[in-house]
Amino acid sequence: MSRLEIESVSKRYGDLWALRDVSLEIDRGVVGLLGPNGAGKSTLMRILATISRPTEGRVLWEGRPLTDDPDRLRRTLGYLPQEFGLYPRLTAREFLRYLASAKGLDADERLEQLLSVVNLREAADRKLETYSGGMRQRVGIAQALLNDPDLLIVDEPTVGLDPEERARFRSLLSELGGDRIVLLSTHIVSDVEATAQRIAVLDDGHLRADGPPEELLAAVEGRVWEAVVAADRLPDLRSRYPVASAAHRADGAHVRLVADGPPTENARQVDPSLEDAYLGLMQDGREDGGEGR
Amino acid sequence: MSRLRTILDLALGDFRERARRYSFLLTLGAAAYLAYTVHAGWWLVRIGEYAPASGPVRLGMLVAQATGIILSLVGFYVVKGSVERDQRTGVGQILAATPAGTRLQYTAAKFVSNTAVLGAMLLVLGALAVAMAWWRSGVSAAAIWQIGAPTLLIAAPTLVLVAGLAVLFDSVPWLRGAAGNVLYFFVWSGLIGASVAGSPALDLTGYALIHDSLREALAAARPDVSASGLTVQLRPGGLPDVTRFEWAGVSWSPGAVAWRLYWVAAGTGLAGLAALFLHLFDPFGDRSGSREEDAEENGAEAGDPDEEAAASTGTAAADAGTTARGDGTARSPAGGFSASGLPSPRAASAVRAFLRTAGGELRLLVSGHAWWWYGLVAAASVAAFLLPSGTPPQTVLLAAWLLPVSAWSSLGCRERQHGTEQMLFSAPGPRLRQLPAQLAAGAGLALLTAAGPVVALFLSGDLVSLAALGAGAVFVPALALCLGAWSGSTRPFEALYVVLWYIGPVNGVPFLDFMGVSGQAVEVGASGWFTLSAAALALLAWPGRQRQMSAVG
Repeated sequence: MSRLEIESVSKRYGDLWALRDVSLEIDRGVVGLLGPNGAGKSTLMRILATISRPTEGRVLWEGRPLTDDPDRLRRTLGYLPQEFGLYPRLTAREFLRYLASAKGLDADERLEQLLSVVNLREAADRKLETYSGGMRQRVGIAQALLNDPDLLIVDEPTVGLDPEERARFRSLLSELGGDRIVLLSTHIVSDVEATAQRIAVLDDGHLRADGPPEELLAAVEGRVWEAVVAADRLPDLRSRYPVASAAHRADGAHVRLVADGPPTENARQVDPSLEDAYLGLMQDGREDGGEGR
Repeated sequence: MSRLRTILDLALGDFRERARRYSFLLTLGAAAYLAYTVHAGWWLVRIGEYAPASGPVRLGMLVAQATGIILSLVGFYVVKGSVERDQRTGVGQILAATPAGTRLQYTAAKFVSNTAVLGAMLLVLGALAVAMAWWRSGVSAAAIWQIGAPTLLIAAPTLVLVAGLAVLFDSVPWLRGAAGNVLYFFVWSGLIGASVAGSPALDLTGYALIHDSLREALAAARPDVSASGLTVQLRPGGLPDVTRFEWAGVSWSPGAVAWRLYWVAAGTGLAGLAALFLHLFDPFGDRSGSREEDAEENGAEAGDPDEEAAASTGTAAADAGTTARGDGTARSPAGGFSASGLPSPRAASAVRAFLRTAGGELRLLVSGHAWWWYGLVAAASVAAFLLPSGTPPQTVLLAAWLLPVSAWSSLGCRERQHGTEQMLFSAPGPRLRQLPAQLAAGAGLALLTAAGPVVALFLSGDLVSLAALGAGAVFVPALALCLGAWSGSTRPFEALYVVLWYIGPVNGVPFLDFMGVSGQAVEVGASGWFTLSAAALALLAWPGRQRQMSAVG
């Protein structure tokens, strides 16, 4: 029995199915949830965070359905929503103390150290209305860690963080994933690549892939190409293949794309990255026209 | 695009946003209910013992008076808050970055949108009045004019002024919140009072206009009677008997029409004036001067592009061991973003967890006020001991319990107002612990601000009055919690509370005197009534919170 079991979960808003028949079992480690905007990632996150209920299916935490006693999970849940607000007239310290109180925690010492962990100790007594976007995001990260959660759910956590903070946050997630479940939802493939031992890909509400990064990479082995083409050929290539990158240079456009065969005469095969694998998977899904859904 | 077109497009977008809300339907429903009160004969307008005969003329006059008295108050709270919404949602900043984003165009668009919303309410009221006339005796073109003229020329200009006032209150930062909502009640009272003064320049509600017309008609119909002074009564049943006389309605001379259009001009002028105060596009503009103060205190100006650029690159700090950042934080090269070795939090028992949550809520309610707020709370406590003999100590609550209005009004809706729902609703006990904790904190705040009267009553041994005060201390936050949980807004409580405050404690109506200021309230056992009401309101807040949680999911 896994600690977290997601059994055939579906969620409908009006006539729109945001999730269809999603199943996952997770014991520990960082699980990256990838998918384009509107794929259903945040919907799944909200269900796991006990804020939303599935229309069909169920979620079990340590063997018991969440709907039976959501507080059982809430006591050990850390959740960083994709969009959240802060109380602008409070300082970061006051706000975190308030949230610790709301969670019923005696966490003064941990709170102080968390302020250091997210590099807000020196700004901790400034009102939150003076904070930049990245600082606000770090307050959000700190509040998710207040109760030393067994299940940490972070939805697009690196939004607003500068590159340095982003790298540091990734290593924090990796470290946390050692002895608990960390669910990282994002559409930034490099965030997942740097942290996740397992990747689940959602597209249009359906789970399209679930496995270690190597498994995803194997699916596009031999299908990733780099080529130098005239700039005016780019639109044509983009319409035919998923293009991972295109950089304009003096000798033409340097293109990296996913294709079953060489897309141009001078194309050369290269080792796939996770981003290539993701793009390939999305492309395959569209070509299948929803096969298996 | 012409400026007028820009204003109309902005206004249309704003109106659509409001009209597609569930609350807009409720608003129209309230207008329909107001029409029903007119139809049901709950309104009486009389001079002494004489009142105009029934018919379309009287109906039109009642629509005008109902608008002047009720819609001018309720309508303000309905339309106020659109600037705040634009700030909260970020739409204001998007508009600021477009050519349309000039202050005057923005306030003009808000004014038009406010007028449209209030106009929709008036349309429902007027249309139902015509329908009622048709139901009673058929309707002629003359009857439509007799109802329509007061609606268009008395009621509509009143609401145009209210629309302008709402834009002004929305634009002046310190009037945007609870202080403005409470202050408007006094402004409204002043405007109603000024109408009675008789000068057309002060006659917003058309009271003096109708009074003069009725008095002339009465003098013509009953030369033997000398009566003056227009009384407007709203009472469900039990209206006094009156003698009816024929009245042809207000004679609409060009001068009379011009005085009504004067209020339209005044409303428009207020919306223009609002542009001078509007700091919509500067997130720090609400606190003129305080941003600079914050920057001085913190050594940084958050949000400054130069600072943010510095944040991404880092600059050498005086302390060689740290990297200074534009946001005012410092990072140790080796430290940061590692959670190893952090002390684990201690999970408290259920009782301790509740007390911690309630304590956190109370801290939140008490913190963040200006220094003078705390000074006034302290002064009110001291004042309870300095009152003339014979004056009950709880009299100071008339002032002291106006101070926490903004804090109380956040109960039940703070999460939605600030976007913290997901964080708090995923914490343990969003209903069983957090909601009762908010109620307890609200009651705690009531008792804190009533510390002087509480001690004075205790020392004097007046435990009955003390119990009445205690019931009020629970009733008020329970009312706030319920209204906040259901509406998701602070305004319903702020508006209703000040009306209750005026009718109950100030005017001594026993079953609305939640402070127990009047001895009568204590004698009739109003404290029991308020305790029961508090319990009912707290229970009603529960499904409201459930609805909020479902909305987030």
